[in-house]
Amino acid sequence: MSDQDNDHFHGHVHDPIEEGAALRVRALEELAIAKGLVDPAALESVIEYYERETGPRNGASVVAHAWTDPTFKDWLLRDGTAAIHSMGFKGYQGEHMRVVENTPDVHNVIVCTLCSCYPWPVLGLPPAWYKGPAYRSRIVREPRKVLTEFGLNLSKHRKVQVWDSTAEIRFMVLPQRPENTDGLNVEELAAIVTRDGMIGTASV
Amino acid sequence: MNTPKVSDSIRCIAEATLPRRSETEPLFRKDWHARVFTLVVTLVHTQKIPWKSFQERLVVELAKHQTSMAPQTDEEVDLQYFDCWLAAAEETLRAEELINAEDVIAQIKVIKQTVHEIRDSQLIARS
Repeated sequence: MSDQDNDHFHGHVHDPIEEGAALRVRALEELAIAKGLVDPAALESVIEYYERETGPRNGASVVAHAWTDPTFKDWLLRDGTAAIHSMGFKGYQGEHMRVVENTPDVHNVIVCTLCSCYPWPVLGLPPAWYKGPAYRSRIVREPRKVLTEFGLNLSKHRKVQVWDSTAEIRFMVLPQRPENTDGLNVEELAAIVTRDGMIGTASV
Repeated sequence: MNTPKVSDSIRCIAEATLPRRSETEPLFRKDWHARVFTLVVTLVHTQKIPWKSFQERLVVELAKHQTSMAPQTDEEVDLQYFDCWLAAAEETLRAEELINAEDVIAQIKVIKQTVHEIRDSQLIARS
């Protein structure tokens, strides 16, 4: 019997709301609304906020600003939270930020070994691999090997520093500014900064 | 001896242990992923539940599922990850005494009943 026949047999196409996790989430949502715990309009605005206002472009503009303004860069490395907030990138999971700088001697990479703590206001929501057990466990045990698998081959003389984010503090990597970019303005520099560059699994 | 070929093959095996990587993957793979994420974030924003309470439960749920290092696709990682979010969200709501298990079961019954009633009325209207 084809899927189409099967649907005809049952008289309708199954709506995902009828079963499993989707149904359970809807039940929780309806209970939370009925009990006055959440406002339905607030639910919609939160999702809109994360879809439109957060994302790695925010982090890229922070990086480009730091590359072009040494005073801002000093501030960013000294007090990442305040410097990032000054650019308007505030919000949940961005309250306590620390920015770590890649140098010729040190390469930084971030992880959350326990779950998926991540600086949402500057990097958006984490990619699937960041949340997966393979990355979370292996990047601490064998960082060079994992970075090689990402296509990043670091000199053996360069130290690899892994930063484990927690509920209390989130990390972001300040990549090294590529050579031959002197003629680029802030917007052009931001365009070459990648999400993975700010996680530390790629160079820029 | 052909070293480059050996390296390539080792690299292929190594790469298979990490999920596929993409900068353009969707923010949420399924509608309910977005909904459970939003529910938790909203409850934390409005201080109805502490983030720490939720996060500790999420860690426990993820650890329960982290029994194998077998390669996973992005979709498999997301599905498992948000299953953990849902379990942690429900446990946190119960632990904070905002809902109880019976509430959830009863609400699921109400939703199912409503869906069936709507479907039945649509079938009658069409016949």
